[in-house]
Amino acid sequence: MNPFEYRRPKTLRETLRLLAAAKDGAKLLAGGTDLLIQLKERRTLPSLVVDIKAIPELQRLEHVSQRGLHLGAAVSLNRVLDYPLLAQHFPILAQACVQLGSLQIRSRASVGGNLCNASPAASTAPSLLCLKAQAVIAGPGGRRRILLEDFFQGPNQTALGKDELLVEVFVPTPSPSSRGCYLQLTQRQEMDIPMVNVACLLTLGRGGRCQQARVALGAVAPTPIRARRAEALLEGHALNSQAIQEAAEAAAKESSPIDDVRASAEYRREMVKVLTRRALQSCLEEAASP
Amino acid sequence: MSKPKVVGQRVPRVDVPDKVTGRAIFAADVAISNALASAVLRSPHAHAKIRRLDVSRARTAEGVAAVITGQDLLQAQGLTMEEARRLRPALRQHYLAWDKVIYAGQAVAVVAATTQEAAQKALGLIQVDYELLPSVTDVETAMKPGAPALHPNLAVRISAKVEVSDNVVMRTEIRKGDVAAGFAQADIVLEETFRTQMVHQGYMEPHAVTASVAADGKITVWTTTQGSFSIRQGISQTLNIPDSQLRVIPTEVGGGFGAKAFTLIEPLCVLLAQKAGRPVKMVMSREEEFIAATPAPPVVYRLKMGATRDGRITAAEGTAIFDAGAFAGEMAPSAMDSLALYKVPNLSLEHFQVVTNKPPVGAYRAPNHPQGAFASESMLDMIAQSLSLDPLELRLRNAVQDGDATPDGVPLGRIGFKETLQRIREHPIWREKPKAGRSRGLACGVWTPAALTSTAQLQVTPDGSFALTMGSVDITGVRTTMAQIVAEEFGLDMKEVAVTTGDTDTAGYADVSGGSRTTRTTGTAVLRACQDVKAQLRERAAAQLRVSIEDLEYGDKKFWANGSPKTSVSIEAIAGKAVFGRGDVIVGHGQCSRLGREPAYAVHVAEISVDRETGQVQVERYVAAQDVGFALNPTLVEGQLQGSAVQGIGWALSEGYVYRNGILQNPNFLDYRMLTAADLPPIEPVLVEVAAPDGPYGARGVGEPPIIPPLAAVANAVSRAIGIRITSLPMTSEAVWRALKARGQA
Ligand SMILES: Cc1cc2nc3c(=O)[nH]c(=O)nc-3n(C[C@H](O)[C@H](O)[C@H](O)COP(=O)(O)OP(=O)(O)OC[C@H]3O[C@@H](n4cnc5c(N)ncnc54)[C@H](O)[C@@H]3O)c2cc1C
Repeated sequence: MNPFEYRRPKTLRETLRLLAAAKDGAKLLAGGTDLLIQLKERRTLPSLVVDIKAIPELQRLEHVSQRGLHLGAAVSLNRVLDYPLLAQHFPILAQACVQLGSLQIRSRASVGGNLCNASPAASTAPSLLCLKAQAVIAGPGGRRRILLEDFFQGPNQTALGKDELLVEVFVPTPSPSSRGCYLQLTQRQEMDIPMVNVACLLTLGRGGRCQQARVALGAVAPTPIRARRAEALLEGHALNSQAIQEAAEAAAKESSPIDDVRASAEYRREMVKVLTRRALQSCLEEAASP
Repeated sequence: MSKPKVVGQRVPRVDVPDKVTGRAIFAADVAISNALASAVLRSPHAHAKIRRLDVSRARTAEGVAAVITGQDLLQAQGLTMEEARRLRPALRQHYLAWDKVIYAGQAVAVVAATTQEAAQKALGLIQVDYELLPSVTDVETAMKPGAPALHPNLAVRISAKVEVSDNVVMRTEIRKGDVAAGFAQADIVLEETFRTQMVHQGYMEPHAVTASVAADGKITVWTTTQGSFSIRQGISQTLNIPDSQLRVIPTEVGGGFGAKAFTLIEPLCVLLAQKAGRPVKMVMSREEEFIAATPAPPVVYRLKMGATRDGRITAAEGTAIFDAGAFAGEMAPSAMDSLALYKVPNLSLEHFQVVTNKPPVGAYRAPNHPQGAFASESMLDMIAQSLSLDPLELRLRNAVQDGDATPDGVPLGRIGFKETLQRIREHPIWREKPKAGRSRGLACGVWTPAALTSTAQLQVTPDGSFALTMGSVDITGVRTTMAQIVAEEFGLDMKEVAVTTGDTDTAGYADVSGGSRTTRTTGTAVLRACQDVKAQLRERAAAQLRVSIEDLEYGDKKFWANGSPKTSVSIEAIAGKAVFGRGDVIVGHGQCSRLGREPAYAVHVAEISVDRETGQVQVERYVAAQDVGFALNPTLVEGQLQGSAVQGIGWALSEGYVYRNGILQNPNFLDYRMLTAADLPPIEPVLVEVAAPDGPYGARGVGEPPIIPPLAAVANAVSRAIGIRITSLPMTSEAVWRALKARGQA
């Protein structure tokens, strides 16, 4: 590891000041489960590391009823998972969080870090895309709020400027009649990065008609993506296994995976189909059960 | 022997409290106050000539105390470049490149500096001009005439039936009977080619060494190793240092599985310490462990077998190609050994060893046997399927038994193969039908430990306690089992026995701990040391009691004359006399370097399910049965069976080096996937005890056999589940999906 200065500011203002002063040379540290590896492997050589865990706003975890969840960027996944209202209102987020890394990793890792690291395979991204999450960003010019969809710009690239940071993710509470499912395919049960991950969130009306559909995919494009054509095939239709199959195939077509050491593009595309179909099927089954 | 009280018991490991509380001192914990840190420059290319290597700027960089290159090593070895070139193919270890690099990751220069950062920084100042050469990482391509040659002037004559390239560095052959006649008698003849990948031993603790040179030149080395004497030999031979000038102190070992049996970075550390005039510490990173240690060889194994309709094997013929990596190594005739489970009247096996631009391979638990058994045990399953025979019955029909000759003609002594098969036959996993959606696979394995040499020294201390010193390194609980033996022999409490692994200056010689030999050979040496001490004590007791030795009785740490238990003399009284010049100290010695050939057999059953859409394999249940002879400590023995099975299942399902253009793509534990507790069911051990006449209390070697069957056991289960024979490992979900897709079933 290269030597660097370490700071642990207690306020957002102080953090922004440090970022501005460091110009390009600062790195933010949340749980460090991505950053520390990058530091050790010299993939990043910051002169300053700013630990953001002591900033109160970044540790906020609060569900404002009817509106949504304020998920501070530095909150650990285990804390998120312990939050009593999570499984009730945001089951697909809970399903994603609980499958990330391992118990030890989850006690350090944050949702903010997961999103800011911007891996195309980030476990929490597809669910948050389905939930229409927003990124609350602070910078020298104040705060701004963007849709998570617009946050990811490429592999390890986000809409954050050099002098900005993610304060929280705001997750609007989905309709009580919505049903969701998150699935990921890994070679190992734990300690693995998804070869493909898929989240679906359906709002179903009477007679199984789909009022709104969200389908998001990970690890199969330069960023986590929404499968819009699949969504369009589902919305406004009565869902049956044929509709689901067609949507799954559309999702596979919308993906643009690559070959890498974890899986081939061909396999990934096929698995998008399998996982999307299974996730949608599970939503339907859940909707059907009392 | 009366009923044992300490051996055979589940005695807790003596080393564990320190390990689980972080107190144990591993090699990387050794901290000499003025020691230098170090960093290694490694080749980024799979195959290249070194046109120019300039370390002058690094030598003068801030904080740098010494830089060594291949030239320095040759100088220390007293070799010229020309001699070195001639010797190269025969070198098993190749610590630093000199005129060319033969695999990506090969060490080119090593820097010692005051801090890790300074050493790292200095690496950036080293200039190397490489002239790239074509490389080859695939053994079948490497073998073909015209393939890029790794060691062009290699003078090894290979009389193969086919034309091969110079990369073939060794060929051996085993023949027995008349194969053509054997196949003619067969009702079915099957042939298949099986492939395994290069895998890593996966030890938790990376290599770490500290070397310090005293004012008189005497060198002390602290290292993580399976055998301190092996390290001493490796260093002394490489650097021409007499044994008397070298002391190797083994630290606690965080796993080795064969990869810590021989020197890897120790000679470099010593040479750096000599050059720098200060102690030097070297610690490998996980990535270095993957790219530059000694993984296990991949094997391509074509095997043909014939059998009669009632399931009797009539002949086997095969060719096994071992990928040795960058240098020629030793080659265990694994193909023969995996067929040695059965009576095969007609046999013809050819082994090739081929070099490729990959790290040199080394030992990994039961070296080369899992790969061989993957082929032969898969083939037996195929025969069982074609003949609609129960795979366990097929094995019982062909299993070798006491007195049968092995392929090399030595008759077997008392063995427990059939007993182990029978235990599985009675086990619920075989007796009961699998649940819907699950399939089972069975496979067997055998390992015959070599004895090698061990010594032990046992002292009785003035208060009547016992102190055992041995040269054997404790990798599996050896200190615990050896203390159990002493406690058993003298009727002691475990607390009354101190047990230490000495270093090369303080302990008697011992070969490496490995190959399932340690409990047997060191255990026998310890038993002999106990006998020696007993004889000395009895002599002393007889003199004190004024009776003849034959009339002595022993119990509760006391001797008395036959029939008069009231007048006794205690061990404490005898030992207490033997200090301050009042008498001779009681020190017993024992050694062992020869034991009978006593193979140990393992029979495993894997029960799995397959997700036919994703190809994902889930191991649902796993039973590992083994003839262990006598379990000196059942908990430790079961641990060997379980750990081995997990390694073998990982080899079957998810582990494997992935190369692209000569570069390893997955040199980390994220993308080199060893299985974790979350992936596996509890591994159920079944201990069978058919005593080995020569083993201590009948013990057989236990560490190697259980890694042999899992590859085939899992593959047989998967093949039965999907109805397609899997012949290549690992069976990742994508690989299984591809197999299904090729049949139009995914
Ligand atoms: C063994 C292991 C298993 C893993 N398994 C998974 C897995 O299954 N799925 C998965 O998606 N990931 C996995 N990861 C990766 C990692 O754990 C996650 O991405 C995690 O959520 C990162 O969070 P963190 O708080 O540790 O981030 P950090 O490492 O602290 O930060 C990650 C990056 O984001 C930046 N950053 C952090 N917070 C902010 C902020 N508020 N504003 C701006 N930038 C910020 C940092 O500078 C850094 O570049 C695994 C990692 C390991 C080591």
